Amino acid sequence: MAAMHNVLTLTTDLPFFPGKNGNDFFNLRHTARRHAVGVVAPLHPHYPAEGVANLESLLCGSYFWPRPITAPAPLPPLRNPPPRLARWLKSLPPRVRNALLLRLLRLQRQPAEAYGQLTTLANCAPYLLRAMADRHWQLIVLIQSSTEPWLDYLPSQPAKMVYFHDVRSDYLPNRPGGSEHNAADRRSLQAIFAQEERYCRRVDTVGFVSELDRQRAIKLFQPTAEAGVCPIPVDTDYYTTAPAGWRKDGRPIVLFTGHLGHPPNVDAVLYFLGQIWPLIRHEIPAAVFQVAGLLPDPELQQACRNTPGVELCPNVPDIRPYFWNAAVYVVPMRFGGGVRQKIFEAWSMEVPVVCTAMAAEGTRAVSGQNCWLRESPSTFAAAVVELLRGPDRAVVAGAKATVLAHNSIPVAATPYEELVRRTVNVKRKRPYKLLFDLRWMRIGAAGGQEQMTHELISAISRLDYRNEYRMFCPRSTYYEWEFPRGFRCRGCFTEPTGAKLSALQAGLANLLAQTLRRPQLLTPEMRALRWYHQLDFDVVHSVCGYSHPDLRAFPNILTVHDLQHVHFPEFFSPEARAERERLYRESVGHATHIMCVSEFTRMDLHTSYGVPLEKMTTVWNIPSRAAWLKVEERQRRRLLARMGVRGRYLFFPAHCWPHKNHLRLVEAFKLAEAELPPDIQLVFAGRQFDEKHAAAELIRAEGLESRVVHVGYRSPLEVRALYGGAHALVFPSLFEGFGMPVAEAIIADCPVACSQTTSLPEIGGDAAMYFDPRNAKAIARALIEIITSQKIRADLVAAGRQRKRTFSPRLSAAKALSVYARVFQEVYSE
Amino acid sequence: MTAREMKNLPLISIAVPSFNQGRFIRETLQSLVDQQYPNLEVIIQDGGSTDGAVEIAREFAEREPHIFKLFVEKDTGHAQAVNRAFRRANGEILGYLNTDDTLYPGCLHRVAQEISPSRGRNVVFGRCLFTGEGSPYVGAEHPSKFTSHFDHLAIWKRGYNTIPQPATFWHRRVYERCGGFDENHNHGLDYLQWCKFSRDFVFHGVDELWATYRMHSASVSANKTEQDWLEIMTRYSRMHWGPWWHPLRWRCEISHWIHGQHRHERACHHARRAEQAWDRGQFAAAVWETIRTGHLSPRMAWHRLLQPVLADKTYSGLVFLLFQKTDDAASAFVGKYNDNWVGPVYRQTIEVPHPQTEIMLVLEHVPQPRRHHSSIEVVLLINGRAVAREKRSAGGQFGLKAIVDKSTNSGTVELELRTRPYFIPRLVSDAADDRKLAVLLLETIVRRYQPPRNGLRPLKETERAVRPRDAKVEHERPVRRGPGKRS
Repeated sequence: MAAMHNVLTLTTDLPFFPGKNGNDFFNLRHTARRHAVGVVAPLHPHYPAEGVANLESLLCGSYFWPRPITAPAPLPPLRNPPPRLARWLKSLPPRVRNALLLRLLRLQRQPAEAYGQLTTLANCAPYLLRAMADRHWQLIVLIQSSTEPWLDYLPSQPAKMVYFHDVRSDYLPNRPGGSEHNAADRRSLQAIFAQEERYCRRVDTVGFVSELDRQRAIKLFQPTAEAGVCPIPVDTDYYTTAPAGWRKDGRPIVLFTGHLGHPPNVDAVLYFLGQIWPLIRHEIPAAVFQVAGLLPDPELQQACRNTPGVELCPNVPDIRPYFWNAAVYVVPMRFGGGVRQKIFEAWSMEVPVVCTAMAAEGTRAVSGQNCWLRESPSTFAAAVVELLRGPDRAVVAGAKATVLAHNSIPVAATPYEELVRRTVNVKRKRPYKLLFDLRWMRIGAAGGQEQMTHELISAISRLDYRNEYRMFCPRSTYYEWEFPRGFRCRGCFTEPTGAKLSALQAGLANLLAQTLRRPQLLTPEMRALRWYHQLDFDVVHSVCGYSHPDLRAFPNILTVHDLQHVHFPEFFSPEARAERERLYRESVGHATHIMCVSEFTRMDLHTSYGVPLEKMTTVWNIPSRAAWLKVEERQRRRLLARMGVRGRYLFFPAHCWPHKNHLRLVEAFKLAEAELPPDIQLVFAGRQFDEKHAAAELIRAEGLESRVVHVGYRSPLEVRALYGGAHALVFPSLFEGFGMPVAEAIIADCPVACSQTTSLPEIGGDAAMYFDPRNAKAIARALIEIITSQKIRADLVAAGRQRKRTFSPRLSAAKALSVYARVFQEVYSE
Repeated sequence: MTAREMKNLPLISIAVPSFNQGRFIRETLQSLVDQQYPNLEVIIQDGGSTDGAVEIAREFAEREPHIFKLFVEKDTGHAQAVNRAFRRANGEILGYLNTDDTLYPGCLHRVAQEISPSRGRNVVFGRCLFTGEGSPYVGAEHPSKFTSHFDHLAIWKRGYNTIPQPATFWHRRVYERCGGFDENHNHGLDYLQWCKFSRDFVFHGVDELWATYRMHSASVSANKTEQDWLEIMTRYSRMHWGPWWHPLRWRCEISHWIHGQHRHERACHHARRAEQAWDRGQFAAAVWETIRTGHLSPRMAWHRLLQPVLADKTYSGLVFLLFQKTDDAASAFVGKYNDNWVGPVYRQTIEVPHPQTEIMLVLEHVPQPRRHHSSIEVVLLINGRAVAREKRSAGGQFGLKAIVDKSTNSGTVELELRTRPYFIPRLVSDAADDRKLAVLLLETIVRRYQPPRNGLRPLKETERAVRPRDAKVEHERPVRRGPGKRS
């Protein structure tokens, strides 16, 4: 099975075909055979419907911005228009305002067209967001080096590949007549150079159209990204010789085609008209020069009108008839980058080609074998005249063979697809960046989950020095951790101040743009994209049992604690239950992988929600690091005395939630009272229950106040002392996702008697005694046994000593890390 | 690879101490065969295994006699076995592999390239993957990082040894200089040995997977909890701190002592208390706790306590500078909500029925939790002129009164009530209510002005507000204390 990736292409220039030379189209078509390809691009009204439909038919998703680029989407006006500020800004000179605007958008070092590029992205941003919501893209392909400013708004998760059609900083300085002394010109060249250099460092791979370009780029930029060569493919079945029955125009026609607004092309035509064309007309007065192409430059139009024997054919739908009519194809270019695809087209259509050596760069042209390379105007004209008088079949056939061997679609589009795969492989070998979504985690407000998350991340920080982590959490939560040096992490804070400042900045930028009558770029969508970019992550881990909708568009790992609402709906209000159900189902459905806190939860999720088992991994919760520290005997006695606990006691730490089953325990204690030694107490800890709690009422009714003590909510140190001094832990809970008290009791060498339901047998193992929590008699029996039998208690403690080490933070952290690594590998896998 | 290149490769000796690990030894030895390294010597030092490990090792030694050499001798433990093997080794490059770990194919070639004493690389280590009994941990890696001798000794900072033992190799001169393993200690002997090595040599890390490390219940390292390990390693570390006069000794002692102070935990505790105090509006306590936090951890005090406040102030300062301070009165709701709450600005047009009319507003201040809305200032404006003003910090009813002349006001007056600050219920208590609320307006009373009976002094147009006790407030409707739903 071949590789299958989701490849999203971002471009300013929709690669439709026919109607355009379509090299990107063929690359995409070839890639789409094995991968899912989507395109985000502006769609101009003058694009031919047939070509666009042709493109759409091979895409898995087309996200085209359907309005003309000249009218950007109107932005919602600022909510609170600040007239004083606007007045004050307007009083600034436009140059200052412009500089300020560029600084706010971080465009001050970019070439002038960067603003236009960002405008295009701002228009396409809603479509890009939609594309991201539709599927996880492994790869974003960017076309042309001028799209560099977009990188500031693209999420870090997909690998990035850029395809350079030409290396502008290589050919632009060689432009004839280019004013080297013009300061503005020099600055813009510098900016373009800096842009391309930056691009080669910020993406994973760079593709060039020819080996020559690649070598030049390596020499110029020393890219850190891998550089590959993807030759230009030409559809040799489309660009063929004239069909049978084609009535050829009898005149001796010389042809030039290309985008007639592109400066190298304009220069070529003007040069040809000025210096070569008179020589040809002098020899063959009937000769006709046809210039066909898109959007002709005004200067070029003027020159064509003023020169005899020249026909300008602007914006033709199909270029082939011109080739079929032409006797010679000329490419008199003096500068330019990339590879001239038109030469391949002419070769494929078997039209003899006369060109300059510069124009033939990267095309495998050899003079006399597949074309005529002529430099000076006189030799150029001579070759054209010779061909107009009588064509040379051998060279034309040689040209066709060259193009078939090197630039037909199967040959030339394969390297492109290979580069796509290589990009994903490069990304996969990198260390991953994981975002912990901890925005719920306010210190002291989230209970057990907070502690479990704290321990997990602490354990990871001691184990992993290679991958990067981001914590999206309140500021004070982040500084609760003490990370060892070398752990690569960053905090992204949920506090509103940062968001407010960035909103202020965006508002200011939009206002400045408004006063300058430029499009307002920082739309809400652009700010969302920027936010994702700044978070800078590959995988999200939602630790609290549900995932947040704004991060579900990325590969995400979900920790599920329990599905209590499915088993005990009576413990929830109908609204709470419905909300939990909805949230859990959605989150589970969107998760790439699920971490369950116990094997029980994993099986439960499998049976209740039908999640396949291979999508889930069990990673036990980590008991608090403090639980391993022993409380000294003296200190313990002092702490217990302060809490009013004396003598032997059974310990039950739990909040007064109904599923903790306090009532049944008190009943059992009452049943067993007669057989228990008289000094045994039952100690509850956790949130105090109110007067009307059934257990409280039972205690009062049975007169057990002296034997059942509730010590209320206690600090971790006091709880440790309670574990240490307890005769045994009793844990009659009806439902647990993990059951941390059992683990903590085992760590503290305290014998355990707990329910035989849910996750508790898994946690307690052979270090606990089990009973049926619904049956008060069974609980009573267990209580009597564990208190009276010295042997059972000794056995349990001995088993606990062995069991303890399975609660090691290192084991759980290693499991979590392997889940992260596996999900990351799977996202970019073949 | 040409024959000549193969000849030039240095001899690598791998010691394999073995004792009763018959389950895994085959995999380990096979991984050494799979190296395809031409100049390899493996010394299997068995301590008298009884579970078939010896037979498996013998099988390998017979099959590949040029690689494997098997010695079966009783030993006192892991360290002695490794030492014996190294004494028998002839290799230029040394390493040891426990019988439950494996090497990745081809890694020894890279090791041979990387170790070069002439470039100062005497000890190299690669990356190492954890595996479990059924290989459940594929993907999680052993930490592999080396910064300095001190950082290696300061094990309490990380809790773990960060040099992966199966993926570490060293040159013979390292062995000659530092000697063999300490035979008195058989647990965590790799950490102890790295302490010796790092004193004299720098470890060079290579970013490539070289080995796997098996975590399973039968392995030596699984019988102790992490707490025990930290104690053992700290003891080992202490053995290399040097004599009392050595600066390293002092550095380690101080670092260990500071670690034992739990400064971070204590700073967290004080920072939490400072935040709580700040929320409750107990400024003195907040400042005091901030100082205590700063004393324990200046970084935490800055990032957690000072910086957010400063950033907030910067933001409000910027807003103050850039935007008008009208508080978007133009667009906001300026009427009265159904539950009697009014926002920061309340406007009403009132007809003046009498020549001398008294307008009285009966208001109630409801302080909100968390200092956001504990005291308010209310200003009453008539036709844009402030006529009455009141500051309240305690909750309860109060009134604002103004007297207007019909003649000067052509029948109607614009009444405006400005209150600050306001609060938003969603932010204060988690109510689903985003309104800006400032004060309860219970009633607006418009009545003929009657000068006080004994009043000789003519009243001015502006009259100070009536105190709630004096005011005879005629309200019958029950007043809702909290914000309710907007209808």
